[in-house]
Amino acid sequence: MLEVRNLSIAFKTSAGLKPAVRGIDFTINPGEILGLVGESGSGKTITSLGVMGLLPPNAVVTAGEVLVDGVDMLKLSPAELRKLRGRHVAMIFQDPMASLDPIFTCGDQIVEAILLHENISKTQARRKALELLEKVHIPDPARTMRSYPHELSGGQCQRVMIAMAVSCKPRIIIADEPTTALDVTVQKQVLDLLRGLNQEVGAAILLITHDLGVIYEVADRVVVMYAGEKMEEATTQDLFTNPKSDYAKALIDSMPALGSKHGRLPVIERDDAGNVRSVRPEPRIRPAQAGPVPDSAGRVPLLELRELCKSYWVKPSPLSTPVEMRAVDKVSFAIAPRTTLGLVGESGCGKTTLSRAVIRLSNPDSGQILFKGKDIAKLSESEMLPFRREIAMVFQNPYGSLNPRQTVSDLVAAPMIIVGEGDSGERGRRVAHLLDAVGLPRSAASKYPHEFSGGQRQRIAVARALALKPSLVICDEAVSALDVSVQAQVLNLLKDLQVEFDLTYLFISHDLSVVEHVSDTVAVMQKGRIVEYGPADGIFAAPKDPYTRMLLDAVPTIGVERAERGAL
Amino acid sequence: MNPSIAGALLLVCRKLLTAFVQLLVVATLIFSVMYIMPGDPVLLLLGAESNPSPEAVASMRSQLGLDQPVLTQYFTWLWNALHLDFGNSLTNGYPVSSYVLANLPRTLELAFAAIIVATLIGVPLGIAAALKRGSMRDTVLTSIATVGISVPVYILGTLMVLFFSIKLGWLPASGYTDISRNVVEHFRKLALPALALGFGLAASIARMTRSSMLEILGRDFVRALRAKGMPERRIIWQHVLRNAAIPIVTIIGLQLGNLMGGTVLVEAMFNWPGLSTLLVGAVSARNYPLVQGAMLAIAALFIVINLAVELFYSLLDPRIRRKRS
Repeated sequence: MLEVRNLSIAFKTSAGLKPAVRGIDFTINPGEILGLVGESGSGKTITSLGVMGLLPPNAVVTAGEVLVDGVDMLKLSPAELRKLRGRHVAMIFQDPMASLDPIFTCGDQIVEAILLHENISKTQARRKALELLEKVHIPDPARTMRSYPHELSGGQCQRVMIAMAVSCKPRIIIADEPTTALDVTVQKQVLDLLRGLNQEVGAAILLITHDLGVIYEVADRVVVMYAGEKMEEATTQDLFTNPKSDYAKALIDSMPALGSKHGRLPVIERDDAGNVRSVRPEPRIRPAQAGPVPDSAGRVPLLELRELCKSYWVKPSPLSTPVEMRAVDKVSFAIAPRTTLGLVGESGCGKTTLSRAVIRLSNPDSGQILFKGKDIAKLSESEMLPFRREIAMVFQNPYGSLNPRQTVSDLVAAPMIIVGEGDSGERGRRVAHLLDAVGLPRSAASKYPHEFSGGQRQRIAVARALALKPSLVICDEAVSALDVSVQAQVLNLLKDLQVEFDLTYLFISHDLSVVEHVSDTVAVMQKGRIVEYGPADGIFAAPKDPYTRMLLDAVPTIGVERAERGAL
Repeated sequence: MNPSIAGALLLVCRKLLTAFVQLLVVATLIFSVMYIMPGDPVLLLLGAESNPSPEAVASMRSQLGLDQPVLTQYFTWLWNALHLDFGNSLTNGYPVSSYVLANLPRTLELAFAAIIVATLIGVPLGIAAALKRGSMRDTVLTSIATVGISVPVYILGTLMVLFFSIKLGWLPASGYTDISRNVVEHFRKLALPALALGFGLAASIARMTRSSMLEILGRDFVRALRAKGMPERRIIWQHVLRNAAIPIVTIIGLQLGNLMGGTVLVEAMFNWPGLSTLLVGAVSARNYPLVQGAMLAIAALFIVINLAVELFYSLLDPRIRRKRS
């Protein structure tokens, strides 16, 4: 049905053509879900755009054929190609909110998609759009028809996109990371929906994702891509029980999964010949000069929250009085020194509001924040200063949190300059020491952030967080923007540093498998409240709260096959 | 009441109130500037050279109300201004409002004509440049726009007079004919000043259109529309341009506002009797009531136009319309 033969795509650069995709082959059969998996930069999105003829102006197809029912898409005229798009081949994108035109109602956009390919009246099209919205299980389809994209949640927007994609009963749907921007529970709903539609409409689906769990749950067959090349093609079952290529093996291993043992995550390494393999690095040993491990037994928690509250006031309609929205509602928990508390919850549950209140970037309404036994919730800005040194933060987006005009050495030294610590020589030595600690070469000091990959940038952010020798580090979705193999490296690093620098982590994440991997204690947050709190082992083994159970159920797991293989 | 209608009404009321407060502040500033400025209007009026007697000065002062306390003067002036009474011209005693009312439509007409010229040239050029980003066409258009922004209007105007009226003899070089007397002649005389003003403005509109279009063209939803199979032309006109409109409307509105008091050079050059001409004449004659009246009229127009632009935004973008709610 869709056959991609020897497809090669290259980017035009000033230094000539730079290949992005090299000789990819795959076939999708009718009614099948084919997973295309790979890390960022592996060329999977560019492949899908090449198939649709939607390559950006700086990319060209250098060789190959894309056959849809025997017709080569690459040889069609723009007008012929346009007729095929939407009607034969439809596409669903990663960021549903951004993929809808913000100034038209969702209903109008679906109607528009229908009228592009079907010769029916506008009233008929509206009726059909309404039916489609019912089919994708949107609550209140009539209201959704009148709503603008910004008035819907991400999951609802993705349903609208899916409704639009299936509107003309396409033969093939290309879904490019359709659930990456969504919460786990919503992801599960959207995946169920896609699978249902696949059976009902009979369309074949090309599912592009970096998430092996998603592939495992949904795909029939999988193509694994790395650095623009196909590494392996296998049925899903085979891939997870018996991966043939080293890369696929390494990729599967580096992913933390629910139920896997604590320990170090294997990371992917490339040797000089370009071969990839999975390596499980040894944990670093606590350096002698760090002194004996402080005895933390029986001591007060490093951080303790008591009944912490923070509200926002919102107006539901312009004429009504503002109502209170409790973003953080009587949150209490404690973190013992040198341990990690994992805080999980879906977007909008108040995780970030909580973290901002803890470092007093915003002022809590009531409750106590006990840091080393002293309440810092009501301290003035100047009284807070000594505590600011003790608490550091690592943010989600390593691309946005580093000033692009500063060198790495400026960035890492910045906290020391702010508090006026040391002279320039001393700061330079400390920067070098920190770069060693986070595993970056010393030559990195004089470079700028754009010269580094995402994982390396997050290492820089970690080095900066450690500059003032803090005791508490708040990681707000610190690994969420990273690829699995890079994520594994950063998680290993955080564990090493915890031992080496006696760190305590408040680790905020929406990813339950990551939280299970790093945490000693876990707090589950829903709508501003902590619904479950306790030792990580207990919560993951026997969740008590229904919400925790729902979250755990929604996580795509690949545990069984991996355990069978004895990889962990 | 329907919440979205209530929201819209609330928005309009709030904007109107803000506009009124702005106008009040401007009026106060205009009054105080006039009060602080050196020179005595009474002496000016009586002719300082003729050395008027103190009695004559005093009687003129009380006649003009200038012997009253400042605050009383201020509130009287404000109250009268609210009734469109700006006092009488110091030079010939005619009411200021009649001058302002006569000249205001002429300035408005020139400004609107110039903005229409600028929009008709600027927006299509900007679109054309954006659609072929980095091409020869883009480079040429962008360079023309840069030149357009940097050439002062009096040079452009002079060149146009030289070409269109002196060399070709198509259009009159300057002057004003009332529309009630001769419609054709009226518009023939409007053409050159409007074109001269419009060309310069077209350049910045073109640049704004280009960058705004490019920003929208890079958005995900444009790719999604292409994937739906929508023809490129429809994507541009129906989706991209509407999304790109807000910054374009902003700059058009700002320019229109600026034109209210910013047509001095063009009005002088083409002998166009608008508000700016009135203001310049009044300032050099130290005709204070006339200056105040003209300045207030210009400020009021500026505020009204900005208000209209802001209300127009919410028509363009549902997010602005509903965010207030």
